[in-house]
Amino acid sequence: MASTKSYAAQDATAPLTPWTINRRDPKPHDVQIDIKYCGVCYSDLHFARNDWGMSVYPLVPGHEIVGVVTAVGDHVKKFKVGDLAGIGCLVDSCRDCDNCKEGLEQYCSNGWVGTYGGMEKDGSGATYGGYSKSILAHEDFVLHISDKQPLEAVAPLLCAGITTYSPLRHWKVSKGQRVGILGLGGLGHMGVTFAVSMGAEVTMLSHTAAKESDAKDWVLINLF
Amino acid sequence: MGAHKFVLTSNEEQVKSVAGYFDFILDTVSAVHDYNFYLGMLKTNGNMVCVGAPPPGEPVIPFNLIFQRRSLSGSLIGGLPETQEMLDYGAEHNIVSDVEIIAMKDINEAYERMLKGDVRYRFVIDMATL
Repeated sequence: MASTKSYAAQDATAPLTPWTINRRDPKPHDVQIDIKYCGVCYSDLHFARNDWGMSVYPLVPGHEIVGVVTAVGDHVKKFKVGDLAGIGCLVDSCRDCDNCKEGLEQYCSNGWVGTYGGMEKDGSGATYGGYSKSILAHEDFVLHISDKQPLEAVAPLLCAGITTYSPLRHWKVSKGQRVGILGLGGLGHMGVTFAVSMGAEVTMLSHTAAKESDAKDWVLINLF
Repeated sequence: MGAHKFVLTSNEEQVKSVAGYFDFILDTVSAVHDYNFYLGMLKTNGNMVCVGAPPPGEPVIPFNLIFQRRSLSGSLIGGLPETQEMLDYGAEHNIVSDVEIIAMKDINEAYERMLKGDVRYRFVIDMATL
């Protein structure tokens, strides 16, 4: 077991405070990452406060994780020490159902393991997320991160990025289509960016005048 | 890389201008809102995808789907191969998030600011501060 500094919620009403995680020992397929940055998703807040009634405490949020590989198990082929790496919302799934075999682990029929607030399939206990100094996961659930971009600004792609990219790709959004993005927050601003990059004509939809002026800093305005 | 247009949905004239207008709407809102209002902005065969997860609110009225063969869909993050594809695509097209860096000890204040919508557009914790 390796102890790791973290910030955790001890119950649904407590603020997050320092806590020590005992991470499992690395297994032959594990990649261990020294965490440099972790994005803050609304799900973190909902889980910390048990808004969805499924939280287990202590809870260490964080699933937009980027950092540097510090150790790899003997069987790891995809990563080496010193590589930039990321972990998103999932750290395991059954890998056997039709969805997993298609690379759709987020729809695993037997239940995927969340990066935090989940239970490891090997019975080693709860999963703790990225508000911590280090984390480890099976190499199949670790992502390669480019060294060409600012690491801190890549972190939110691990949840906000993929959440918006996946539906735009699945429904084949492309040049000439008219796309509306409803809500200008962590997800919305990524949705606008991806949809524009795919050639769509993109309209930001927002329900308050305050949001309109807020958006003006960043969105090219062309009022009807 | 900003949007091309902005529609204030509390402005009746602006809303009228996008009736039956969109091929696709990505709905990222996690507060209660009326889906029927936005379904009316889709053209024939248009699709609205929910990625925000609000508590139950106004029921969806199937007429709003039936008469223009519209769809209302949902989507959850992405699988590992697609997540890698997205990261590679982001690197190729220089796509990153617009972030505000915070120290670990400021996380509780950051949560309060998120609840007020006071973040442009994502907080990121610098783990050197832990």
